[in-house]
Amino acid sequence: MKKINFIALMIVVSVMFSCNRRTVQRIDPNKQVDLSGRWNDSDSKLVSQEMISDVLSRPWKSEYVQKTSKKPVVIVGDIKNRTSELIEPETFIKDLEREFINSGQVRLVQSVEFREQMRSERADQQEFASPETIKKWKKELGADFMLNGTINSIVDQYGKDKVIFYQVNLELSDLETNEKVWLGEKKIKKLINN
Amino acid sequence: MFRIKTVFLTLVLCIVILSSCGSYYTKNIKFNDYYKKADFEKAEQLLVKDKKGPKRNTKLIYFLNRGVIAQALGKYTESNDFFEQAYILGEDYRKNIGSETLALLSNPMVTDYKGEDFELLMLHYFKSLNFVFLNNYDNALVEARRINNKLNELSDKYLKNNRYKNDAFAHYLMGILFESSGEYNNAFISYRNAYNCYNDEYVKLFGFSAPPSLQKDLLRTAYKTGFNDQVNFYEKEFNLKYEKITDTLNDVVFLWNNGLSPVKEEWSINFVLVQGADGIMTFVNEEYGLSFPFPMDNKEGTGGLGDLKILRVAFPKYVERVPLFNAGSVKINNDVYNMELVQNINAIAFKSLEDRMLREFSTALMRLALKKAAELALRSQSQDAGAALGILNAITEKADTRNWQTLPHSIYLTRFRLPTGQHTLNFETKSSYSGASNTRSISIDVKPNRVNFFTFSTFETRMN
Repeated sequence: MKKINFIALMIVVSVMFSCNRRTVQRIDPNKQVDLSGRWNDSDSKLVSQEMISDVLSRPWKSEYVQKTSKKPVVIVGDIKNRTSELIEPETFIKDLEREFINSGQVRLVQSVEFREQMRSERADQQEFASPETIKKWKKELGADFMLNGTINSIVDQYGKDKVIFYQVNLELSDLETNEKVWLGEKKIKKLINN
Repeated sequence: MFRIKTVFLTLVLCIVILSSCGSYYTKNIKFNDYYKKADFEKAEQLLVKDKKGPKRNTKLIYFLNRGVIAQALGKYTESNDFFEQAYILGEDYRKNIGSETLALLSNPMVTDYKGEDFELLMLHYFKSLNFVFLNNYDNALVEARRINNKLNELSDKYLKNNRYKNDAFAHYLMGILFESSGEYNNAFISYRNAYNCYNDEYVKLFGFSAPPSLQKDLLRTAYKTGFNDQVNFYEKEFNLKYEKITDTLNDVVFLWNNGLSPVKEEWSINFVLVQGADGIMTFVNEEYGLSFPFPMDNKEGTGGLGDLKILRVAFPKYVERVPLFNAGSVKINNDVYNMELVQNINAIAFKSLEDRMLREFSTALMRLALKKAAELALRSQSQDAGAALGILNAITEKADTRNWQTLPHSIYLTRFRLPTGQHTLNFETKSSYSGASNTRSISIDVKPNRVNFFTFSTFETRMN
């Protein structure tokens, strides 16, 4: 009788510590997976898609095309993170740039740090590249508009429940006149129950 | 017959006494002594000689110790190899069913040491500094992001407030690392998180608030990120006007690792077994107001659990190694910069154990219940074998006294700005207990266009 009882206890203990093997599986990067409720790739994608499709459907673009009969040249500037989380602005900026380019409606130029890199490469070419392949100076495409923005968040927590509210504000300005030609806003609200 | 029994009992008693004084600290006393005397070469030799060190169930501590020693000896790349191994062990830790079960039948020292939350976090402090010393800021930022992941994990793991679930110093360190790489936005966020954590959590849990240097860090990075509203907000909050930096001096962060982290020792308490209705047994200790019910098959008088009225259970506890010094300052030319307390590892260790004491109690009691059940199961077959197992159980009853013992007791920080080149500074440490003070002359080489990090460790502890 005692023996059976002891074995039963051991089984209980074993079960307590079992099912602990790690598994790894590859999943579709487009699949939306929410775990902690923090800002993640799905948010970045969702916001960039919606906001870029919004900015491209507004009158500033058609007005510009009408005036100059050229595609506007855009640069994505700083996206400031004002939340309490460390959000990699890089991935968000890349998402925005990709949406811009894929639309085929605007032209996009490199941001500051990459321009520096390209200039140093061009400088290098002047000395070492064969004459027919040397790229010329002062041929850079100047941007007409610049996109800037901020990501804000408000966290409200009570007990085990938490609401995270993200607000992404983007604005497009005319680089010559500083005029704001488009303001966009996207809100994401998440309720997290623990 | 009587004599044999007496001899036998004495022998058992001796074994019990002998085995009970072996905490993890005393087992490694030689290493600990070398480390305390800052004799890092000898300490390293001991670790190198320990061929089984990287394989034992304390390998996490082994790698952490090797990392600390290698850093102290200036071997930063090697140090990071060890810390990386420790990091991977911490990340990949999975409970091993076999050793967990064995732990319940003997003691928790047979399982792999998985590390305390704060130990796995502090590992990145050493690691990021190694990268900074190697002038590899990209990898230092990797460490900053790993700290961020760890902090998220920590705050998700524990839902209850009023426990150690957020680390202000880790946020602060992240801020400094981001700022050194020119990522002012991320630096500002980290500084602000640090500031809030110090003032909301650290004050309550550990009795100290945000260091004054953090105020300037917040204002500076808010300004550099272009958050003018935040500059205004914090200027009002601190009653401090932000002064734009106009000089061409370089930032210096001076860190002081003071003293030694606490060590774990064993203590045991006695539980009285109270029999309830429906075969429910309850372990009761009135002194501590503890009671834990256990479902047990119990038949009075047939060698059931009811026969065993008092049981000893071993638990771990921390013992503080009080540092001799509790204040410090850096004097350079005519300027004096006071060291500011930014992390109290000792207090965090005590708090962490306190936070999970209830869980420690129940695991220990579960262990005890199982041991007794095993003994009784055997006793029903053979009295002698059962008695022998009972003795063995008593001998093997032990608490887990392992922890990372080469961590500092607390960490202090000060920031100042210096021109490029060699400088000699005087680092003074003081003790308000004994009035003792010690001044060391340290020469530093300040490099341009970066945040310069310097660390200094003192190991002196107070003699009681």
